[in-house]
Amino acid sequence: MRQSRGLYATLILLYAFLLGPFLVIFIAAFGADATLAFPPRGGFSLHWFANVFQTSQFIESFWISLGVALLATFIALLLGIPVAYALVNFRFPGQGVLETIFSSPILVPGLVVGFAMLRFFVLFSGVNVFTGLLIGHTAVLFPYSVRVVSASLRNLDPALEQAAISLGANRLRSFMLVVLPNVRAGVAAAFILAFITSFNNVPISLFLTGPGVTTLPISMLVYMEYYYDPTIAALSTLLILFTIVLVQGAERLLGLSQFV
Amino acid sequence: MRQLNQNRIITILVTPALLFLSLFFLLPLAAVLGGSFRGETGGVTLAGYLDFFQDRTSLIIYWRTLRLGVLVTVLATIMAYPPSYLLSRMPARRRALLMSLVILPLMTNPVARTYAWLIILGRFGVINRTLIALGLTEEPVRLLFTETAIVIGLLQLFLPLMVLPLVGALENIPDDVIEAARSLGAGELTAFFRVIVPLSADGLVMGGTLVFTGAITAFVTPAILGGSRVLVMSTLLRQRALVAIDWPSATVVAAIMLLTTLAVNLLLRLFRPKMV
Amino acid sequence: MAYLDLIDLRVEYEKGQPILDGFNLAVEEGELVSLLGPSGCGKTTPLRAIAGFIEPSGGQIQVAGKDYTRLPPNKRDIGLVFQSYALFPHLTVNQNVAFGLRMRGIRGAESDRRVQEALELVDLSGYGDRRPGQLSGGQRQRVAVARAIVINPKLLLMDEPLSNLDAKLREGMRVELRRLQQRLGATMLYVTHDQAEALSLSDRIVVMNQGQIEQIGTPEDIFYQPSTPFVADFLGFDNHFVVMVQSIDGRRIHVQAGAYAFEAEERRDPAKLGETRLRPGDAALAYFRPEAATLAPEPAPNSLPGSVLLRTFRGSTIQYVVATDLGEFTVLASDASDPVDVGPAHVVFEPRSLVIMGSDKEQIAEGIKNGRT
Repeated sequence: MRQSRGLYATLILLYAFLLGPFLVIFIAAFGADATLAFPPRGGFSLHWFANVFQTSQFIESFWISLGVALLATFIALLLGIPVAYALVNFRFPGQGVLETIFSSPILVPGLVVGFAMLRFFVLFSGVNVFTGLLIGHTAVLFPYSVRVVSASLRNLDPALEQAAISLGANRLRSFMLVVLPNVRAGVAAAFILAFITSFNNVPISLFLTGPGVTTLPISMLVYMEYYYDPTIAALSTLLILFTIVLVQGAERLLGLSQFV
Repeated sequence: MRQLNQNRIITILVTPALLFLSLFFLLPLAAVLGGSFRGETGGVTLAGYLDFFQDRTSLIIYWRTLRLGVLVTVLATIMAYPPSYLLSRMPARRRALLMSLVILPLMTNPVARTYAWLIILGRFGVINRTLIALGLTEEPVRLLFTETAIVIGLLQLFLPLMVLPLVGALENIPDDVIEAARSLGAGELTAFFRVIVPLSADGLVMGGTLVFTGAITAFVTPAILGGSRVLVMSTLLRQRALVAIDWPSATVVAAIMLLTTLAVNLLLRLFRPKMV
Repeated sequence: MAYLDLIDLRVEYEKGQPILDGFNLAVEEGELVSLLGPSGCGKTTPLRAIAGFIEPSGGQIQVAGKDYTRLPPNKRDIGLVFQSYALFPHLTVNQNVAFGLRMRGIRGAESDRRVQEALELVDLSGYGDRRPGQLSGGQRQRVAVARAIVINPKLLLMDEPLSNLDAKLREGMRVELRRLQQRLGATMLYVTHDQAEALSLSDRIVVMNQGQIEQIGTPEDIFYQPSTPFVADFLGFDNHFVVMVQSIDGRRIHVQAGAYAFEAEERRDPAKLGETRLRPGDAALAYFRPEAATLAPEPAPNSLPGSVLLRTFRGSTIQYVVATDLGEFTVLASDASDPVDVGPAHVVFEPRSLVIMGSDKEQIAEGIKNGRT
C-alpha cells in the first residue's frame, strides 16, 4: 500500500491534535511554578493537586455537579424510556412532530436554553436554584435518553415481546420482565452519556447556577478569572482521567461511540 | 394492535415528557422569540432586531460567528476525511479502540479541554517559547484572545463530530466497489473523488451540520480563548444578560441565535433526504 | 362447528388495502393444518390475527366455540413458536419454559414439574440451567416448542419454526414435531414456504397466494391434483399447455391440443368437485411434472412427438429439454433409463400424470402468446 503512509500521517496528526493538549495539561499540572508556563521551569510538584482538594468551592461544586448529574439523568431516563418505547413500537399520526419536539433540546443552542429558562421560568416561578438547575439539565439530557434507548429497542427482536404477551403477560409485565432486561446495555449507555453531558455542562449551568449553588465547570471558570496558577491543570488532569476511565469502560462494555 | 387501546397507551407513555418539555423548554423558548418582538411599551416591533443589525459592533460579531463556523467546518472536513477513510478500513477491534479515543474531547470537561490551549497558546506557552528559542521573534506573539485561537479550540472540540459520521458512512462502502472502480480504469484519485466521496456524502452533510451548528453556538471555547476581546454570539449573549443585565437586548441576541440554528438545520435537512 | 373457525376475516395494515379479505378456514380439533405459500403471500397474517397481534377489520375468529376476535392477546391461551424462536436471552431454559406458568400464577413445585415434563417431551431434560445463548439452533427450537406447550394451549401456532435450521436437522425436526403434535392431540396451524415440510407434516394444506386461498386439501391432493395454475407452478408442475375439453367419462377426461388428443385421469372423486368441474367444450390447461413424463423413440398412446434439444446430466436424474408443437418442455428421467440422444423423440404421458384444470381467458391468451396451442 503505497498511499497509506500519507494516510497514516494524517491519522497521527489528527490524534496529536485531539489528544496532545491533554498531555500538555498533565505535565503542566505537576509544575512547581506559581504561574502557568510550559514546560514547567521550577521543577515538579504535587502541590496543585493538594490545592484542588483544599479549595472548598471545588469540593462543594463537585458534589452539586454529581447530585445534579445523577438526578437529572435519572429523571431524563424515567421520562425518556416510555417515549422511546412509544416511538419504536407504534406508528401513529403526529409521530414526526413529536419526534422533532423530543429531539429539539439538542438542536437549540444550550446557552439559549439556559437563558430562556432563567428569564422565562426560574425568575417567574421563583423555584429555588437547585430545582431550576435540575430541570434545565433534565431537559437537555432528555433527547439523549430517548435516542440511545430507542436505538437499543430497535435492535430488539419484536417477537420477544410478542412471545411474552402470547404467554399471558400484559404489556407492563412483558416490558418489565422481558424488554427492559434485554435493553439494559442501551439504558446503561444512555445513563453514562447523559451523566457525562450533565457533569460537563456549562451553557445551561451558566444561567441557572446561583449563590451557593454552582457546578464544577462553572466554579472552574470563576476560579480562572481570579487565579493564574496550575490548580486548574491539576483538577483538569483528574477530570480527564476520570473521563478516560468512564469512556473506555463504557466503550468496551457498550460501544458508546455509536450513540454519540 | 387495538386502535383505541393503542392510543391510550401512547398517551400514557408520552404525556409526562411532553408536559415537562412544554412547560420548561418550549414555553420559555417561545417566550424568548415573542419577547424579541416586543417593544419597550408593549406591542409588536422589529426594533430589537433593527438595533442589533444596525449596530456595527453586533453586526461584526454576528458575521464573525458565521465566518468562524464556516472556517471550522471546512478545516474539520479536510482534517477528518483522510484519517476517517483509514479508520473505516481498519479491522473492527482496532477501529473501536481508536474511535473511543476520538470521542474523548467531546466527553471531557470543557474547561479542562480548553485550558490546555491556554497553556499552549499563552504568552509563555509552548508556541511562544519555541518561537523565541528559535529566534523568530523577541517578544511573545499574541495568540490568545484571537480568532485563530477560537478556531483551533473549536476544531479540537468538533473534529470528533465530523469523524464519527464520516467513518460511519465510509465503512458502509464495500472494498470491492473501490476495486471495481480501479479495475474499470479509474486512477486512485479518480476512484476517490468519483466513487468514495459521493458514497460518503451522507456522512459529510451530517458531520458538516453538526460541526457548523456546534461551532456557531459553542460557549466555553470562545469564552476562554477569545475572551471579551473577540466576542461571538454566545459570549455576547452572556455579556448582555449577565454582565450588562440588559434583558431586552439579550433576548434579541438569544432569538437570533435560535433562529440562525433552526434555519441552518432546516436548510441542511432539505439537502438530506433521509437521516443518516 | 370446527374447533378453529376463521369467518370472512379481513385484515388491513393500511385503510382500504386489505392483506386478507373474505378469508375462511375451519380447523378441526387435533388437526394439523399448514398454510403454504411463497414469502409475501400473506400466510402469516391469519396466524398473527389468531394470536391477537393484529386486529381484523372485519370477520370473526372463533376458538372452541368462543369469540376470539377482540380478545387481548395475553388472554388467548395460544402457544406460539416464532421463526426466530424469541427465547428470552436473559432467562435460563427453565425460566423461559416457566414464563407462561408464572404469568398464570403457577409457581413452585407445580411449575417445576410441568417444566420438567415439557422439557422431557422435547428431549431436553438436563438443559434447564443453560441460557439460550449456550444452545444450538435445534436445541433452541425445542425450547421454544416446550415453552409454547407447557401452558396447555388451546391452539399451537408455528411460524416457519424450522426455517433457521440446516437442511438435515430440519428433516429430523419435522418428524419430531408431527409426533409431538399427535401425542398431545394438539390443534395446530403451521406456516411454511417449504412444500416438503408442509407435505410431510400436515393433515391438510392451505396453499395461499396474495392473501387468497388457492386450494385446500390433503397433502396427496395438493401434490398430485393441484386445482389452480398457481398451485401447479408452486408444486413443481413446470410444464403446461392449452387444451380443449372434448368429453368427460367419470374420472376420464379427453382433451384436444392442436392436432393431438390426450387422455387424462382425475384422481379425485368427480362427484365431490362441485362447480370446479370441467365441461366438454371448456378451454383448459394441462399440467405435468418433468419427472412424470417419459421419452420414447417411437410414438405411443397418449404421446406427443418432439425433438430433444438439450440433455443435461444431473446425477441421479437426466434432464431433457424437448421442443414440440405445443411448446418447449422439461423432462426428467431416472439415470436408470436408457439415455436419449439429441434429436427426434416422443413425450409419453400417463393419464394420471396429466392434470387438467379450468383456466381463465388470460391464462389461455398467455399460452397462445407462448406458442403452446
